Amino acid sequence: MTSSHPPSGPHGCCFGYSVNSPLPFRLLRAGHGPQLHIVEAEREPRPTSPPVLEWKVPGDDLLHVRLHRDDDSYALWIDGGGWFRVRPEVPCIEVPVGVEPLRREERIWGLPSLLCLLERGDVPLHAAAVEIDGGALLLGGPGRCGKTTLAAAFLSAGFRVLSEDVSCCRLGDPPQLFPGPAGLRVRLDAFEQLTIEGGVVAAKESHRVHLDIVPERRGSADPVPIRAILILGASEAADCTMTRVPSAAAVRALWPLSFNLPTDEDRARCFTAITEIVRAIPVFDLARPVSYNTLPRVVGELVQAFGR
Amino acid sequence: MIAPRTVLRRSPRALYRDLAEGEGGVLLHLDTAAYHGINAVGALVWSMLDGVTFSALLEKLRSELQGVPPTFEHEIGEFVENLAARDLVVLEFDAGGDDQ
Repeated sequence: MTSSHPPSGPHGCCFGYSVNSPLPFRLLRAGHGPQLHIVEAEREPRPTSPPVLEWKVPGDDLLHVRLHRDDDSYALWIDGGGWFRVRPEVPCIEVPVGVEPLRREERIWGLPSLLCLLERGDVPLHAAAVEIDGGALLLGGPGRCGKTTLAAAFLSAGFRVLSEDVSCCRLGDPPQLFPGPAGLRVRLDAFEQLTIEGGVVAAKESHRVHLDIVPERRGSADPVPIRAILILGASEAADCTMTRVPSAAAVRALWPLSFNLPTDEDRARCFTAITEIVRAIPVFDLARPVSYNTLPRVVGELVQAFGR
Repeated sequence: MIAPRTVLRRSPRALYRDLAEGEGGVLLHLDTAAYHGINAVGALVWSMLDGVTFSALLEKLRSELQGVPPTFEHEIGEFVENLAARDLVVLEFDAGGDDQ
């Protein structure tokens, strides 16, 4: 992947962290927060223990990911990204040397930063999020269910995209979402069908287009109250159908969107977090027509349902 | 059906969390990561599974609940057996055999 020259300028924030780094970043938002240190690694991690987690991330590219635990840090291998070392308690992320900057940044805002979010007690969910009238609406679902495409449609309609892949939720009264990276990775077929206002092409791959959200559409990194979580599904009908999910079923729906390590402590943490989310935030099944030309109508229906 | 003197205990590998009032709760098995929703009565039953016998459980529930149906014992027995089948509850059988 080749990308255009990244914009220069002061660093900003992502997921509530203020980025402290000598490296260039292009997906940040204005704001303040506790510092997240991001540096190039002086040497690659050499884990001596077997991975605590190992999996292949499905998608257009099948990524092999391995996560090792070493005392107070994690060593993380990501295909196409290299080795990362994450020290969540600091917090600090060491990144591999020589990786193309946009790909590196996109990887940083995935699992490496997610480990830091967990350490500080937040609840990351595999969901996009958009802002409607000052409230965050999460768009959750399995891979390729159309989260990013729907988020892109919101962007085109003039709404703010708060996150594309990982939504950082903080429990409280009210529960809040910390905006994530200001970018969208749109499938090539979706990009060719849609006119995405508010995004500029940063890079193109054979199957995907990487968009930077233009600065004037990013907004600040301040947290946004969460209004609802939608679990995206498909419908043959012309209109959307939204059904409130009962709490126990909502836990079941959100569990696959959450992240936990295979330890008793972490599974318990995740379980507690998900049930607290369900107690505080309404969860809906959204069955909607899945076609490019119905996207504006879907956006309109959701704005009507969740706007003030 | 569970024998009256069978001792019922929550599995140490099971976690329980309440949902909103009146909505019962959810159970998670730490080893399988399987989760199960239970209603408010089920949550009450769960709260009592601390080494109680089946007969004592029924007695406690009858004192807490109103309008108990004739099938109550069967339904509670089925519920507990279901939890045991999912390794969420441990049944300790009375070596002395069934009570009268």
